[in-house]
Amino acid sequence: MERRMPEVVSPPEQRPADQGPRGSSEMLQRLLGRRGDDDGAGSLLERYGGLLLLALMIVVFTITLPGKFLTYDNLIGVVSNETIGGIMALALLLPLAAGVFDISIGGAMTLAVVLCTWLFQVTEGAIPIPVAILVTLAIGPIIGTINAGLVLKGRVDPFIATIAVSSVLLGLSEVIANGTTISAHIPPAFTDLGRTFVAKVPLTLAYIAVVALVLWYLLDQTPFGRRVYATGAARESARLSGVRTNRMIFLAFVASATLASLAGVIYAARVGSGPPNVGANYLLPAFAAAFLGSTMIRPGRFNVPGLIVALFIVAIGINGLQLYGIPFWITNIYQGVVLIAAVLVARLRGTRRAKRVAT
Amino acid sequence: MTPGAPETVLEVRGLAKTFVSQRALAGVDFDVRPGEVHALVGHNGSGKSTLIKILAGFHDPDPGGTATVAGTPLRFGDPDASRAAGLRFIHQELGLVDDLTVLENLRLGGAYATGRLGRIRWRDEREAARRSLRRVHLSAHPDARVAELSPIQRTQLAVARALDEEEGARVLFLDEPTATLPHSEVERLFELIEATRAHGLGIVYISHRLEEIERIADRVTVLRDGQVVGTGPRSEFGRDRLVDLIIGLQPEAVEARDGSGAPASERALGDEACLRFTGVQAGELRDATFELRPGEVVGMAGLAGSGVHDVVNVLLARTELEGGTIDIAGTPLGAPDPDELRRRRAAVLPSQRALKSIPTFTVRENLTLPDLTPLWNGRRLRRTEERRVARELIRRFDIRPPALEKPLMELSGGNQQKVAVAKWLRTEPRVFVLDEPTQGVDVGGKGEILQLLRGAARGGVGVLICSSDLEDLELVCDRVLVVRDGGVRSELTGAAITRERISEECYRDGASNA
Repeated sequence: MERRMPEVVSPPEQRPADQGPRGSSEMLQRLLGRRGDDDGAGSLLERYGGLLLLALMIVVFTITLPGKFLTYDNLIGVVSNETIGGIMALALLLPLAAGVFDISIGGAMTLAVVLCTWLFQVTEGAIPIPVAILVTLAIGPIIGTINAGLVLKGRVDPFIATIAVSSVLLGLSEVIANGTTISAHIPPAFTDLGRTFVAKVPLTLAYIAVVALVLWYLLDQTPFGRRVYATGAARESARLSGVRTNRMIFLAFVASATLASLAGVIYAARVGSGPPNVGANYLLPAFAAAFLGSTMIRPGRFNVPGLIVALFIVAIGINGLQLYGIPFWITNIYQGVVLIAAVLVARLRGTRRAKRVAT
Repeated sequence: MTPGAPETVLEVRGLAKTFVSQRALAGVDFDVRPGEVHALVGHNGSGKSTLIKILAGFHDPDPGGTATVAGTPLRFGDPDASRAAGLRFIHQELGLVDDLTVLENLRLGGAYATGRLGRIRWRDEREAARRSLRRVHLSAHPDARVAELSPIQRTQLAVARALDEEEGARVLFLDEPTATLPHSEVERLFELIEATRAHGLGIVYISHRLEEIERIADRVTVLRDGQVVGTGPRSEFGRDRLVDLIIGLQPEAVEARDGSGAPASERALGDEACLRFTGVQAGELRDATFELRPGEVVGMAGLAGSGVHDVVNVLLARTELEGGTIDIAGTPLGAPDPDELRRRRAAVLPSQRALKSIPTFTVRENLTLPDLTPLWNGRRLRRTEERRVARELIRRFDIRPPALEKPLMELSGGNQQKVAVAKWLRTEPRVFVLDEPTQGVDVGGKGEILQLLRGAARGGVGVLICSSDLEDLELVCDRVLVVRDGGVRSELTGAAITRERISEECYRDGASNA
């Protein structure tokens, strides 16, 4: 991105104040002749650059880590480690597409983990598993409604509102857990849901696949998705075009909290116990994946395929680096760097687009 | 005035400005003398605001023009230079920060008197503030919050701040200062202006309200189409002459109203009103009553502050409906709301470009957004069908470039407007209300958009155009309603629809008609 392209002539007063480097992607874009009819979707490099990066990482790790990286066990480990984080990232997709932050998914997941395991403990395992799961999932709509109420009726900034709600949820989890990790009377039939392998593939993979497919369908294939994107792109104009923007935001919050509680249930099933405050660890990676995902496949939009690619870029990157022998701390640093890079890429793209408008 | 003071404090010579293809100012001369109130009048688009923006340093003029302040040439294109030269601008919005105190607003952007360690010397500051406030006869406490001030006090504070800054103020521009003032406080504004001129400042007073100009101005300059069409002592400009100058008496223009057929009176109009306002109170509207019938194009005109724009705002729920009823096709609208309007097949297009469409959405996505149901087959959005629909609209409305997948913001203003008109006409509305439909659209695009609206009316849509472009109204309307003092005060039909008549009605004294 360092090379500077000759500036397209534009009147100086119309040029945006910040002059980010014009990049090689624009050059490629011109070489590919993609400035015509399909311009809105972004250039090939913009769209598939992430995929290319992922492929590159896989090739490099395969060559430099022979016998370690490209093994079935390693790869399936990477993938199954991503299911919970993946669902958390997918949970963020609808609110972000609708233009609102939801920080409370961390708190919602924590509460779900604790509540679900607690239900088994207090009933000494007597509660039917589907009932326990449904009761736990039911906190999703409640949390989502509270978030939406604060943001839409109370006109509180979504970021602040959901941070506050998250703290309350964490507190409620502490009330339930009473400072301990709940692990008594968890029925094996429940933990099977998180630990079973079908033909050497973990069952949890099916959960994330279903969630991803449903979200992709909603966002990409239905009027609902179009309206959610419109809400996120320009809320007031969307409203004036007849989109019920409040409803979109309400549904987005309900979906995110419900998916976060689903992530909590899966976590409980996988680990077989309910430690306090696990959700917080998933928050930042979820944002990193969602933002990185928004720079690819459908650049400029929070989209499911982009998010999946982003998840793998994060997971495979960390896995490779750890296989090189870099210790545990690489995870946090890598995730932070990815989030920064993703946001910067999105910004540069916006600047370039603004520039193209000015010319 | 001290002897030897210059005769003029601001001297503008041959100032011109051409925007991309349009001439906004064509060689303007303009003088301001110390201690005088100089009224600057002209219709929207006459060049007033361009002139002011150049003097304020926000636009560069075309080469050749000059402005001299107290004998020193003004460097253009630099707001700091304008300020240093002593030019002060007070806009309608005043630029005060509600949450700060009077004192903090006075010092906004300026420096505080500080003691050791950078501590602000509040006592000295308060004393200085009291002095500045006395100068404008404002008795507010320096520590009062600005939000608590009355409208006139806010104006006084803005003036105090303009006069306060270290470089001496020489000319004060007041842009529509009465627009936000209640009637009862206008007198106090005039006192403030008298007090200010007594300090030897030149005052440029910009207002649509001719009775105010008669009251306060020493001299008048009238702008039209970027040129000065009259300047001189106020006594030479009676009300009639002013109106004539502002509008420009050109009897040529009444050609092709509806080049496309009979006037509405002879076409079959639906009997029942498709849109009816009854005693509507909202924002500036106090008792708006009118109706719109299917198949007619009705224009609505009015000065800033008359309430025209609230007709659109109330429909979009951007202004609260405080009283009266709004019917669409005979059924009252409970609480106006864009979604409800869409269901009732009433399309409303606001004037602000940012609110018409979604800038980052593609042309295709914008065109189909108001009604996605026909594209939904119960399983998925039919993209092929959507592209076909969008392509068809692009062709029919001649949207350029004809690119389905371009983000809307990459289109010109005129084409963005065509997209907005097209997307609403696709929903086959019964009523189509537009606010300033040709604002920021070039001449060619303007004609096309008006044609489209005319065509829609022929197809049975009731079209209501709120516009300050009287030429548009003259060209396209079957009837023109004039809004004054918060209500529809006159109706023009047929040959009476001329720019001159509309203006006359707009400017007519509210009192004589109430």
